[in-house]
Amino acid sequence: MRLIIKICVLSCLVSIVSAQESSLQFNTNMGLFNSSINEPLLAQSYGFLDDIEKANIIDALQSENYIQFELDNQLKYQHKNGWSLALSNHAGLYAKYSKSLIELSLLGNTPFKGDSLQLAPLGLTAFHYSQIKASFQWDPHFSTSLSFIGGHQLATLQVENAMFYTEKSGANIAYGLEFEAHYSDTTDLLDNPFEWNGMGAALGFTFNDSIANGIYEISIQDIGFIKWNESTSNRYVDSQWSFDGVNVDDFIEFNDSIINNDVDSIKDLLNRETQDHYTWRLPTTINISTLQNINSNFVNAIQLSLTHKLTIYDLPRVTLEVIKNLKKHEFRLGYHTGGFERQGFQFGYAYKGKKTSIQLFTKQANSIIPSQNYGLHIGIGLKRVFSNSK
Amino acid sequence: MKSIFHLLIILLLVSSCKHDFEKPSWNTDLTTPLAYSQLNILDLVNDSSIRFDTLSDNSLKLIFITELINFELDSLIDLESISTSKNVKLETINFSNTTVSHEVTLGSLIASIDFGTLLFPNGGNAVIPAYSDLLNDTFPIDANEYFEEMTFIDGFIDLKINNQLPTDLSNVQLELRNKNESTSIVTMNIPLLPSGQTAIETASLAGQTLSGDLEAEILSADIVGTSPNSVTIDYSDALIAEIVIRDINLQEGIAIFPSQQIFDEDTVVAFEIGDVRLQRVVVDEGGVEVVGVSTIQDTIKIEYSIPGATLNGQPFEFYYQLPPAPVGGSISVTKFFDFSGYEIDMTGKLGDTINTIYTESQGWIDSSGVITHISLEDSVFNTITIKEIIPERAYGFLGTDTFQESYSSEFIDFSNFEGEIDLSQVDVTISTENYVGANANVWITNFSAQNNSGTLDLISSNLSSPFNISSASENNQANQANPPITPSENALLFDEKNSNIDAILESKPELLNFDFELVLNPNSNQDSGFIYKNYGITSDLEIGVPLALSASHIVLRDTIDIDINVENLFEGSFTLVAHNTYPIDAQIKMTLLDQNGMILEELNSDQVLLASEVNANGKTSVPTTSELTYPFTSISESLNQCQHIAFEIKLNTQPENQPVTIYSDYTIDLKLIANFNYSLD
Repeated sequence: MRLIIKICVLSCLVSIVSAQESSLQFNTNMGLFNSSINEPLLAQSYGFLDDIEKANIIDALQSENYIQFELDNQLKYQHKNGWSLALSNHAGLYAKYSKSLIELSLLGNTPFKGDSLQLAPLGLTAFHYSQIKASFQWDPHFSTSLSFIGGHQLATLQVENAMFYTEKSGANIAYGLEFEAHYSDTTDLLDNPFEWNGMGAALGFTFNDSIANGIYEISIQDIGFIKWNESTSNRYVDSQWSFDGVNVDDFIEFNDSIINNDVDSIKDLLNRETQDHYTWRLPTTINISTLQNINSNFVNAIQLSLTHKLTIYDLPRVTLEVIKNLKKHEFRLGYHTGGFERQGFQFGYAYKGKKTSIQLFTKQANSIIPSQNYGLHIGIGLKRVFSNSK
Repeated sequence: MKSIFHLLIILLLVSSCKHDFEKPSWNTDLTTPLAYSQLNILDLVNDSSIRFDTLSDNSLKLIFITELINFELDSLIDLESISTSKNVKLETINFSNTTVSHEVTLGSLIASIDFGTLLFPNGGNAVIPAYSDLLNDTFPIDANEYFEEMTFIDGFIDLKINNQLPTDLSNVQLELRNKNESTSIVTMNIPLLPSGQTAIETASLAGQTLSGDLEAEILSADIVGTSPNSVTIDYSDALIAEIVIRDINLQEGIAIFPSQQIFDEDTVVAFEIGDVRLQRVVVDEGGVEVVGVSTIQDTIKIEYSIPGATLNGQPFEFYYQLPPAPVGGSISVTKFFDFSGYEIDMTGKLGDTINTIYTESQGWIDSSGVITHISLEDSVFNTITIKEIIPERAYGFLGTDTFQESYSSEFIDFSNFEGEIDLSQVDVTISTENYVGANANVWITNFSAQNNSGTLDLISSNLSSPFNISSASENNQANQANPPITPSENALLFDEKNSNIDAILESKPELLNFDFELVLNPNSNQDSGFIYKNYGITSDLEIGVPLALSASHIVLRDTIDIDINVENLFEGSFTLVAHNTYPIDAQIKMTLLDQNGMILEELNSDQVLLASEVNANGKTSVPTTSELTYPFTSISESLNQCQHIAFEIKLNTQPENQPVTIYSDYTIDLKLIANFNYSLD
């Protein structure tokens, strides 16, 4: 901890390179996405689901499906000498599930008699933490950051294998399950959502430079970890189970208690957990973008961005944006694919005053078309400049 | 800036247009195995009355056993409670001889003379002159150290006078009497008692009462004197009176009595048990109750014993105490002593009788050192009760007796069947076992089968006369053999050749009625008999049916208890998958019943559990697999209320009308699968 503070202070004191201005920024960003269920289908998915509605849901699913929630808030002070200090809070949920899991849940196992259903991929990462980040710009192209992190809540589930089998006559059902799960102490979640259940640190690097008629930027953020405390529950399960029914000596003398005993034994198997520290690797974000100015009456620039969250995304999120500036107003319209979101349009608007800047953007510009709406998102940025560099 | 503000408001409105959240729910089709089992006809034998024997060709023979008679003869040796009372009076009161003495010294006599000590100094020599009436006096004799009062039946008192004075005495008259009484007990009259001489007077104490406070009076005693001779004056010289009470026989007394036995009684308790002649009994339950009543004002110690009752070689005996009775009253004590496990010799003290228990009792008083009143009028009243003895076993002649009994035995196993049974072969044995050490004649006077249609009598020459069953033999008790008895056995065989037994069984009887007459010891010649508790004469009916039968539309019904709780279970079905190697078709119907037996749901299947295919030898060549489906709708409520499931199984042997043989390796593999529509939310 002392080392981190020393590095922060040292970074602040060293003024090899000066920034352009001193400013205070507030950025917020909230979104809920899913990759497969659009707004009309979601609206039908309340109350009792009949066969048609179940079929619609299943038809809409991909073999692999995602749900994402993110909420980020940041207050940042940027000094004209190049250093900055930011206080932020991040909550995120990234879940992926297979179509076969939903099919099994909605239809039961009867339609799958004789089949072996692979229920993976199945995973969940949910977190909530606060961060103090100190950054320093070493030269016009390169900056680094160092963060101290206080972890509030964590839940992770990583299923490596989940198989469910029903024999063709129903005479046997079996599963194979291998997963790893961790979750922090949630006993005080509602009363104290900002309770500290872990501590960690992270590093960040950003590099940018000019290229032809534009610029490019490469940044790597959140290279770090959170060590969750000893109240963290950890489960490692690797089990196979096969059920042929209860073997009864006297066939007609069985009752639900016999079956319950079998069910209890499965519960015992799945509920074996330990409570201990758990070190969680932050989902490191790699961002590569390039902006190319264009001399056109309609478009001033285009920007291509690639964002990848290690351990979360299977594929990076790629965005192509066109940018139009009208005096102090900037408009961005883009299309994205990859990541945890359904591919679609995104939109951004920025007002760039001399002292004040405002930014509004959404990653779900499709929201205005219900059939193409797979989530809600809004981001707001406010910036106030105090002084310019000499 | 204004436009941005407008956009924010629109976004807020859009995001606030949330759908009213209604929890999603849906029905899902689930399939799960519930239970599986392998049924073999041998597994059905959970009743001790049925077993299967495997014959040499691996075919099965059904053996059904039911008890017809279980006749115990414990009542023969029921030794009922019997009491005997004895009032024991004291025969004698022992009291040892007692001696008390008194001295009149020369010194005391001289002191009573004026200037006597000057005239006759101690140690001096003087001539003792003659005196008259010098010795006249009354002096106490204290015997309270030994008794306060005694009344004698007999005895003697000796009054002894020893003259140790230096002078002769003459005209000595002396009386001994109770203090303050005028009547003398002993009177002594002696004309001359020379110095150094002794005189004795004896009186009888018969009828006398002697007090501990006695007194003796010297009515006259003249001192003859020594003149002219002088004698040495020694003040310790004395006239000694000694009283000896001897050879006494007390009527009563208040005294410190020595230890003495006050009674020693033998008692004989004889049981009346008809012509049964028991020599020995081992007691399972029983004991002795003693009620002792005493008027003796001292602690009575009582020892009671039955010398002929032993346990591990030790005779049965016990001790107890009767506390001192209050003055003028009595004390009573009741004690019970268990002699379970004891072996009792019932042949009396001399071994020459039967059905008799000989007892001994003794009572005594220990010398307590305390003055006690004892009278020959005192008594100890003993009531000895032999509480009901339940023998664990008994030995002797068990008597000759005739018993006539009737039994009815439920015979539900065949009556549960609907349809027709044709038994190709049957043999029935009535096996009688005698566990009593006495021979008997048994006559089955009636054997009949009863069902709804009426009664059918067994007709057989085997029932025309009684049969004799010999005495059982006792196993070696030293080895604690189990069972302790080897029964004698007799078997009567009935088959379709010597009786109508096949018709009896094919009538599917519900009750078997059985009358018999039993004569024990018909020849009255077995003195060395025995009988054990809970062992008597039993008869079992053993029915042997080779499982080669033709059954058509045989219906078996059974009901089992069940307790299942399920929710949200809608339409679906149960599937019963059966892999059958029995050449028997089966239709199975299940009915869910509530606690009052009311029908909640009937589960029927259109399919039949198919019989296996048999080869030319009638043996299964190809097992069959059948799936029986039992559809249902909204069964949750019925299952939750269900307390019983009634099964109805209709059986048909295949091929029809042809006997099939059942082999021991035939099985049915059953699996019950549930297919149902389940509501989730």
